[in-house]
Amino acid sequence: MSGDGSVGTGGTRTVQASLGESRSRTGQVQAVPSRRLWGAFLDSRRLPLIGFLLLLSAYFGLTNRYFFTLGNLTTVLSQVSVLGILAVGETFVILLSGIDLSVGSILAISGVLSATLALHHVPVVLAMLSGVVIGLVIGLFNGFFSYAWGMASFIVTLAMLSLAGGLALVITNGSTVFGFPNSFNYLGSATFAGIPVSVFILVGAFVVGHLVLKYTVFGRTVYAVGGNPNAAKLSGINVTAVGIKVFMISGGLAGLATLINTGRLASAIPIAGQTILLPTIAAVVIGGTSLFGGVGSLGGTFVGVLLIGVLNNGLAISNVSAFWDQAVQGVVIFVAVAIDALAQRRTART
Amino acid sequence: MSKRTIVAAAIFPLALAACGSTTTPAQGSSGSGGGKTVTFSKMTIGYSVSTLQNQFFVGLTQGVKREAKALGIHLVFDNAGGSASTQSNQVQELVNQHVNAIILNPINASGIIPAVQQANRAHIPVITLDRTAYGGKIASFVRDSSAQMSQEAAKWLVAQLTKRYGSPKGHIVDLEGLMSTSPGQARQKGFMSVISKYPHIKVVSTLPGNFNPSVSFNAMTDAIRANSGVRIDGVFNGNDDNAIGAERAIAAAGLFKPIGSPQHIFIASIDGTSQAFAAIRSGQQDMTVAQNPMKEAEAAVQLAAEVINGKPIPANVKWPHMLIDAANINSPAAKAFGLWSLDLTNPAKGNIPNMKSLPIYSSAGVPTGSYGSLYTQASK
Repeated sequence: MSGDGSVGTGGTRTVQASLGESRSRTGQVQAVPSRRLWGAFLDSRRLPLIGFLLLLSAYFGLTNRYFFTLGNLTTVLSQVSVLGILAVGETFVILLSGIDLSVGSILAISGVLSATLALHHVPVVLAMLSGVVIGLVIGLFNGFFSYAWGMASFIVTLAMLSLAGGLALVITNGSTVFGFPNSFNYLGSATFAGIPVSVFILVGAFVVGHLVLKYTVFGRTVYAVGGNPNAAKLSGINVTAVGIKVFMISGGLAGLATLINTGRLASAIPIAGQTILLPTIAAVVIGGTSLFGGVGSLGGTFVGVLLIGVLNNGLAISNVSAFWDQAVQGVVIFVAVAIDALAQRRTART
Repeated sequence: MSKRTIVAAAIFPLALAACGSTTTPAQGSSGSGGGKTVTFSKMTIGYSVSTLQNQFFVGLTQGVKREAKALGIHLVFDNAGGSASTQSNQVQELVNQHVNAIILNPINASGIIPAVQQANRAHIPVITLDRTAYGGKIASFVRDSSAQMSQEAAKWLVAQLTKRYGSPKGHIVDLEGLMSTSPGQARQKGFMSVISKYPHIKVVSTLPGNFNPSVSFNAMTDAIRANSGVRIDGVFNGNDDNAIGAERAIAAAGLFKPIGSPQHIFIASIDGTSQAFAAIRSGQQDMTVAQNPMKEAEAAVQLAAEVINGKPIPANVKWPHMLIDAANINSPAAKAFGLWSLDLTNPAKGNIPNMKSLPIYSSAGVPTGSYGSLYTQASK
């Protein structure tokens, strides 16, 4: 973080940090040891949003008899798996008061590069690993220039959005990469015990991410740095190292999500991810993570992701026309967040 | 204006065949400086493409580039990257550079009008490619018809259903293209104009595929869920990218049955991307109505070269399309038509012999004959 930025917003940050602390304190007071994991994953402040999600689901369930089938519920989870995995990484970054605009472009470039390797007879496992490695390397770049070099992460990742997305088009000449071995598609199209592998990866990413954030020293430092970078630095936290790690988590998860996205279609598309950035950030923010950093949880993000997924799936099943689909999504997301904000204000008053 | 050009176009070859015309300056000589003839090497053509994020537009661009290179014409190439205002600026820059002609693939038919008018004022001829401008003076509009292509795909679906059930009936899923674009709208309209004539063919779901395989995959998955009790007979796809998503979703749901099986889900689509051709060869996709953006673009370059030298050119060129399926994909006819997407990296120019049989259409889209020897310089 640049010195100027920290000084300018220092006041706000302190407020945010103290808010965050008091909130997490109340969370801990409520928590009984056995319920602690859940209590922290879906804390009580998300109840209005969860209630809204349940209402929305009930509506779709009543209007369409296929909505509440087991098959459709795994369909929803599988449909949001790419979005959800990106949102896990983005939650880390936003908790740190940064932003990663490059996740969609990482999806594109690591997809076309790893698929091209598989197409040219590189062993499939290595090609798949390369997808994640490319994401990690881009994350390292983003983190280094945002935290060691002191550039705004918004600009660094905006440049990367353009660079990586552009390179994906250059490498492929705008065409889809396809025809690689079918085993490359495992994460995107295989099922395990009747459930898509992508759902296991989605759930795994949230569970591991949640454990890391809440129960490791690194996780707590993410909140501390996001809440107040200066205070964190003064208390001996290596802010640069935390920043680089967080962007690598975001990049690496984007690389992992690529393998699902590519595998599902048996094609790596150079324009993949161009429309996924805003929903990713939206899911994180709908879930209650503050864009100023230091406040939020992966449980909230999960609810945000589900809200977007249920809305897409429910509207599609109800056969709403394409134009209305988009408008209705805007209204529903607005109402969800408005109810949430109202509830937060009430809580703050009492 | 267009009417006059069409008449001239129809008469011109005859006159040429008879004795050579006095109305065309220095035709036949590849330009040794007589009159106002501009040789290829002295020509500069500006080209602005709407986007390169789709193989179709890569095909257009490849066609323009390779024809210009083959003729030795200097090309100024701009990619508007999907932004109508960027494109407007690019066209203004081309006008300021005094290029001899502009080949334009507009993003927005209305938004580009002022830029076209600016070119008109500078007496720079504008040829539109694939999509046109709704105003200004357009020397020629070269394209395939999205409406006709989608009608052809829809008719094919009707024929398959009739074959399956003995009469036109069944259940179809419609994966629309990106409805904010003119091809998206035209294809949807063309599809519905055919299907709505058959009351027993039910479109059970109409969902946005957005010319995007990921979106189409999710949409098709939802369509399968929403119609769990119904047997889906076929899918109409706004383009081949939609079709890829649909095919994968059908396979993921365990509903794929090979072509010929009574449970097979027919996949009808448009464009002819390399991935669609591969899917047709492997039996994943039934058919695509293929265009040929490379040849359309090559034609546009030749038309530009003609109009620069003041020769009459047809106001409307509708490039033909061809229904490609497993039965004809390896046929000489398909080869002659050109499977463009398999040819993208081939630097050789390909179309000049075919240009001799280019059909002429009136502005209403009615063929009025075929064009004989328009391309005097190019055929040398």
